[in-house]
Amino acid sequence: MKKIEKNEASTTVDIRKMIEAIKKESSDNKK
Amino acid sequence: MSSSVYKYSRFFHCFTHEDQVCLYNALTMETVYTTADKFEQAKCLFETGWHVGNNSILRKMFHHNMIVPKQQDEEFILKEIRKTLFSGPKIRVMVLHMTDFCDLKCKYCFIEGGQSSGYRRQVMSFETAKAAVDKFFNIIQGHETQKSPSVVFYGGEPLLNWETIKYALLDIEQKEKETGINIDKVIITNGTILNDEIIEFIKRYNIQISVSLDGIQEVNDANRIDLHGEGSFNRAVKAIKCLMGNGVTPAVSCVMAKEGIPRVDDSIRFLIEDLRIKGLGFNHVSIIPGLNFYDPAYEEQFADAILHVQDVIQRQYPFVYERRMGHKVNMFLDKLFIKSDCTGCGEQFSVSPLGEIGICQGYMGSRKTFRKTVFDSEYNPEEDPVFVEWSKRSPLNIEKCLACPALATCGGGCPRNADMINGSIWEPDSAFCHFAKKAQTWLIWRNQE
Repeated sequence: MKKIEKNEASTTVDIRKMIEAIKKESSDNKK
Repeated sequence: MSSSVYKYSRFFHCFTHEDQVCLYNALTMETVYTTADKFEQAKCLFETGWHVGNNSILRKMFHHNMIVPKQQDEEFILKEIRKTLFSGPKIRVMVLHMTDFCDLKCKYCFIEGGQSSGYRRQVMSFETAKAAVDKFFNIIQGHETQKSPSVVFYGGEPLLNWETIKYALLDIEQKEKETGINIDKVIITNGTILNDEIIEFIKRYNIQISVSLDGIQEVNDANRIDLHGEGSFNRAVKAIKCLMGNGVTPAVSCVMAKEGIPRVDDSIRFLIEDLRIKGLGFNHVSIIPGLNFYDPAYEEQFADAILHVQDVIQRQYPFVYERRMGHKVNMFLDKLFIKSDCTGCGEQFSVSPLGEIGICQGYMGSRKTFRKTVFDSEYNPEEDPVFVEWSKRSPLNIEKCLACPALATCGGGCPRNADMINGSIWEPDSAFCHFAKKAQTWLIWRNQE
């Protein structure tokens, strides 16, 4: 399966990064 | 580090195919491929209190958030994600309904099908087009979005009101110079009345053009007919060839009705090999109260056909973008969550021929959500409670969707369909669910290949 050059709302998001940031902020707050 | 302190994530799903297993996090799109035997062994170890770090499958599951600490509050994480993602509408697209007259009478048309018996058709005036363009530029100034702002000329058949389109293009050009904002221009047409002047403008203004054609003649002319019952195939094909001959490559918008499904291979070959189309989009037949009903059997067949088309494209035509699956493929490979498919969910407003502002062209017949006009100088759709509500519609905010394996790749389908089928935009779009779930399974196994 390959990516295809685009020729469908625009907002897409890297949820993994977002979750890591949330976890980090949450753990910083606990400290 | 065992199941006494860990739990399966609520977003963990397990796909099986013969002796293969794909462990999947439906929120982050992370995958772990293994065999059924190895997963069964890991599962037994986990559920009998085995140390997570002592098994390679369990270690991977932990690393990819499929096994999480018992004290991890996934509801809290969801709330934080929602806080970031749903901050209200950010308009990027304006759909201008130049007229609701059309020289065709397609059997499945949701614009036509939504009109009541006493409905009076209209044509957009210069004055309305100018007020709409002014309103759009006032709204988008200062916005930053992932895609360019765009104006879509829509109908009916928009080219029946060519003089106003021309006027609007000149107005947009002037506004672009004043603001420094570049706008994508798109015309959605049936292609029947293209002429040299229109093609010249399309080239001069670098307009994207999408011609409606459902495939080979037998398929197209089963539904796309004119007021005399004659098929539109020859006229649409002539328009596409004329555009190509003038250096403009249009996209093709196809409705895959029941008649088209058995001939999809012939249609895709015709569109790509004979017409040399590089961009196309397949739509299913829209739900129209009293006319087109939700038909689960049709939706299953539609989904299978779209996935078959993508298999053919991936194998034979990797330069062709079919937007329905192409978008999912690209986002899945990039591990990017699709917040919503529908631009109506916070990114667009539609303008009726009389200047009324609403969310979705699918409501043009009934004017549902059309409450104010382009002449109401104080009105900003981004502050309208209905637009604000629609901007929150995403699988992330629909409780029934949170347990679905297609959570990240679905986009939630069509809010209007959900409204028509299930009575609220906050219900799933049942028609689209068939396709979304099958597409997710397709992505999982094609990704492994």
